[in-house]
Amino acid sequence: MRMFSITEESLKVFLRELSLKHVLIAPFERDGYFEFDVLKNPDVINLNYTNTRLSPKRFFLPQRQLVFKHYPRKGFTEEPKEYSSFVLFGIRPCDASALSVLDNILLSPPYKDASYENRRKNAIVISLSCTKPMAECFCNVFETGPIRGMGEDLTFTPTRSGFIVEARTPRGVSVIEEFGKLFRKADGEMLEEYSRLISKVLDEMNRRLKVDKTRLIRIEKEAGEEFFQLNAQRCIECSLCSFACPLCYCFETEDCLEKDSYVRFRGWDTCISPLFTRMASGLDPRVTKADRLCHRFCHKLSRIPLAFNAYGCVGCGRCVSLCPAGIDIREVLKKWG
Amino acid sequence: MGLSPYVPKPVKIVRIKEETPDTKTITIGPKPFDFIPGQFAMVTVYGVGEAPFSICSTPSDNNLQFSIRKMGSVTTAIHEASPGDEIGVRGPYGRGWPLGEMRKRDILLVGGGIGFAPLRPLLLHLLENSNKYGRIAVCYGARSPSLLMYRDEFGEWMERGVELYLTVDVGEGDWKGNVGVVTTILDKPNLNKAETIVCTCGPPVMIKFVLKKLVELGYSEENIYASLESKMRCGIGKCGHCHFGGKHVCVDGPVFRYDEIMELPRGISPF
Repeated sequence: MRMFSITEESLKVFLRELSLKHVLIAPFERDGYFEFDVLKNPDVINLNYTNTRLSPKRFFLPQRQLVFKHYPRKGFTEEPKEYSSFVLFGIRPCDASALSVLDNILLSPPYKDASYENRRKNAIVISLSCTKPMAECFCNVFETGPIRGMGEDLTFTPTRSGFIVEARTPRGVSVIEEFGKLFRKADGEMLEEYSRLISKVLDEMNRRLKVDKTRLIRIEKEAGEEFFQLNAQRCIECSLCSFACPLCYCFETEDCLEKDSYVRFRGWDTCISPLFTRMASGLDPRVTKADRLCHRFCHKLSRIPLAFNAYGCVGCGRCVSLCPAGIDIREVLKKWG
Repeated sequence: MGLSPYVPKPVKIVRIKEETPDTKTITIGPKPFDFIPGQFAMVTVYGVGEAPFSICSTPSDNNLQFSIRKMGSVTTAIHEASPGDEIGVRGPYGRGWPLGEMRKRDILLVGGGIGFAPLRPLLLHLLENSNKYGRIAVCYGARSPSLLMYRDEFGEWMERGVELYLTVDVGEGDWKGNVGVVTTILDKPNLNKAETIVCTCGPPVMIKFVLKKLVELGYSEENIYASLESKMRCGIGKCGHCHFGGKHVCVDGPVFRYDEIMELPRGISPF
């Protein structure tokens, strides 16, 4: 049995003790938006949020990070480890699911992304179920929420009498054991409420948008650039969709000089940018904006599924709510799902 | 913990040779890794950047060579480098030419301009192991005679049995050879067409017409391979820049077979 429960009072103690023993990253409110960050003071943790504006992917794939420093006589040193280990508390199941998809992509042979692997290995991920998804959310389509995600070690779900806690990995179980006195075995009534909640929220979401995700892979062969012409006319190439996406992992590198060394950084990149594929010679295999949008959607909905048996979208809704041009991936899902 | 796969190895520039007015062939060594003809490496100029280049030396060489055309910031910095300078290199990456398929077969190499760079290690490897392969023919074209690379090696290639056919788009000086695009000389090699393995590299528009012409001439689609190029940042299938239609040029290529090229999206596929 991996189902436990914790009261609201005990949760506060749990978070306080977590913050003493580990680097704790949790949600809090800043300037009217919710963000994740390292919190020394667990009292500022605020769990009354639908989702954060940006995804928590930056704790695994930083927006900008050092790849190496090269010192003229000494050679190379690599990115320093920022945290020895950390606990990411309260991310939504969709964002936790994105990590499990990224694991497939970035840790697949023959090469592993060492920095991502290191951060992933040293992180305990605790998700917080959504009982009131945002209007733009559609995790039901990809089965990446709203109550349980993939990729988290523990799932916390709010109920009328505290939280139900499901241990999802051996690491999750060990956290429960570490703080054993704060958790109890979930009783029958709570378990019943848990399964009722899962079907209730899922039903609500299914009434809003119901898509057969297995049909989406045909978008690659059938949609083509023409389908994306209208969106291409609206897109202003701001790339918010990529940067806000918990799954967009493409990166660009940047070399520069420092006082005593040569350094290389890498940082988020976006296939929406006209520079993404343009070579120094001027040759560009992907010239039009419609081509680039087509690539973005085909990659997420067709190529990742074919290669990894998982989807490149978790339905977090960020690209929908942030796009200044009103481009809505749900329209693509409705048409091709 | 070892260094991440994104960290290059330091190597010294041994020689720099002016290959054509816009291309230099740099020799670096000793080589930090072995490779298969057709594979590429990521070359770093410290403080400037990193870019993918086909390895153009033979695998039996103790050094590595790259023929590099001055194009952007990294290639310009390499053109300005001197022997003795240190650069970074990591690799080898990608799928090379299908050596296994070539056993006992005739082989045709078709190159355009700087596109001969990934074909040279293959040609040299075939010549060093000529008892394992059939006849070897090369069709090589460039915009002008001065842009033909490896001109000083042509004589030796022919002495060692290569049927060499050259062409240029525009003649100059004392050029007495063929004038016209490379497709105009593709009918010249005397090979067993149905069984010949063809390897080609050049600008996309050349690859397009070469592939069409080869099929017209009776070469078999399943025996035709081309090496494609793309912007790359990692070389190992993670950065996303060379991802087209589910294939990564860096991992699934850069050498693709005819049918795989036909499956690629328009743009990266020359068709």
